[in-house]
Amino acid sequence: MESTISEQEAESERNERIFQSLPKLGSDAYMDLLKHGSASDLPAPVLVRAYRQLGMGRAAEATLGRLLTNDATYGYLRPLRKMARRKVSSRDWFSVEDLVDQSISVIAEALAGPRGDGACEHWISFLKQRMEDAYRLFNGRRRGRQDPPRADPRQDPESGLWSDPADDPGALHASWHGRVDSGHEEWLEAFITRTLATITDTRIREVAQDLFSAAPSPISSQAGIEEGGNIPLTERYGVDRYKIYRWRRIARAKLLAALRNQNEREVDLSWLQDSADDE
Amino acid sequence: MPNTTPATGLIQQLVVRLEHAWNTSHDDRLVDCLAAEHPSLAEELYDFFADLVEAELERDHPCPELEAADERTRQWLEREGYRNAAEARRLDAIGRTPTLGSAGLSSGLSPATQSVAWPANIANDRELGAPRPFLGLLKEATGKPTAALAVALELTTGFLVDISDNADLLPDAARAELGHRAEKAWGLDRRRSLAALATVDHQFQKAASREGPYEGHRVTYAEIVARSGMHSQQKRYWLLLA
Repeated sequence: MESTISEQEAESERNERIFQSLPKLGSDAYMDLLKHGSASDLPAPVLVRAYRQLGMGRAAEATLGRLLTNDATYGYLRPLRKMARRKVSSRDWFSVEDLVDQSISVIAEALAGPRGDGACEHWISFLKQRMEDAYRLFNGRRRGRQDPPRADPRQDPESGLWSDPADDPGALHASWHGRVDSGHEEWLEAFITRTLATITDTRIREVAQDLFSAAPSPISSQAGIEEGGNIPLTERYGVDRYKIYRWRRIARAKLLAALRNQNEREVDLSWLQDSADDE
Repeated sequence: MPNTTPATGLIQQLVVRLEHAWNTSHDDRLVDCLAAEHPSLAEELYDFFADLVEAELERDHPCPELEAADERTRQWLEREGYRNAAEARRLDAIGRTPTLGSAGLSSGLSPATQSVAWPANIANDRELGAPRPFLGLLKEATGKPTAALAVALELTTGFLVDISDNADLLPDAARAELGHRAEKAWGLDRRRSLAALATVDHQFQKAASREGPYEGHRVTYAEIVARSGMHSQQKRYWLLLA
């Protein structure tokens, strides 16, 4: 396990410390850091703050460029891509890729103005707001779409990967049985039960409890029912596969956050993080 | 200009609270409380919470599949993004940038009173009091007269003027087709075309400048196609996009 909350520096404090220790903005050392620093060295809110202080010019452009054009390396915009995938349905006239691109152009403009203030502290909320702005721009006066729940598997235009977990029964399975130190199993089982019980949405909670049970239900596959297997989750809840996938993702994030925060045991979390990589 | 509904205003306030709590103390319980208080927003709140957790996990994790998208953004920044951002900053400095208000994020001020971000080119035009329709965008981008633009887009001049003036009547597929043709003809970023076609309500502007109330029926997309002067095969094509 990496660390517990008591050992971690709060994100906001860390960002302040990083910003204060930056080389003089615009200096050669700063430009060098922009080129070579990791995302941990230069979190998005720090870059936003630097960009806004720099005003215009080469260093400002390099800072904005680092923030918006290096997602493959640093991941500053990955939450935006996930939000856009959730937002766009097969009934929209634009693609996920279109919405991401439009959001980026809205972000670039917003960062220069007063709305950029919020991005210094709440980068991911800022991304969400700008994505909603871009979505409204695309939909104009039509207010918002009135869609039925999404039912089709969807392909990520960037990675080419399908986001429908039904095609990959292993995705987000996150089974921990047999993957953690046997000395922790009993404690972990109780911890998981305790943590997932706090989820207040009934269906998300039930799907979460199912996911981390000894025998998780299939997402949509009917195979195994005749042998006494579980009813598929899509059938049990009357929702599409994508919805189950989202609920399982929430369950994993909730558990991961709680495990990172606890001080009771040192537990290897790779089994849980691996399931995130499966996405 | 699009409006922010009360529901979207509330969710924006709530996600800022979630992110603040996560950033300051890795609070993983607030989401449960907010979801209980706002059951209709529960799923969106939990989704956002998962975004927060995963963003931390994925920091510095390479994802080579995104390199093409990065390159596209890089080209856009070089072509117009940096210029647009600098212009937005200049306008902000003289108090003319569309303002959503920094407090919208940091203090959860109701966005119902805030204006919404426009793509930089649109925002700047609006600030200068000259909303740019699709035709204006094409003229500025290419420097060509209307007739030449129409030829390049394989349209008649009348149809190009009509669709630009009545962009809000266009079916989605027609907008996409126009964006595609403009990109193919001049390399014009589809986002600019789509923004011009999707958001500028020219009829409303005309109505606003009209002295008396509007009389007579509003033209339809089918009528625009019918009076376009295109040959029948072309008309059929555009009607099929409806």
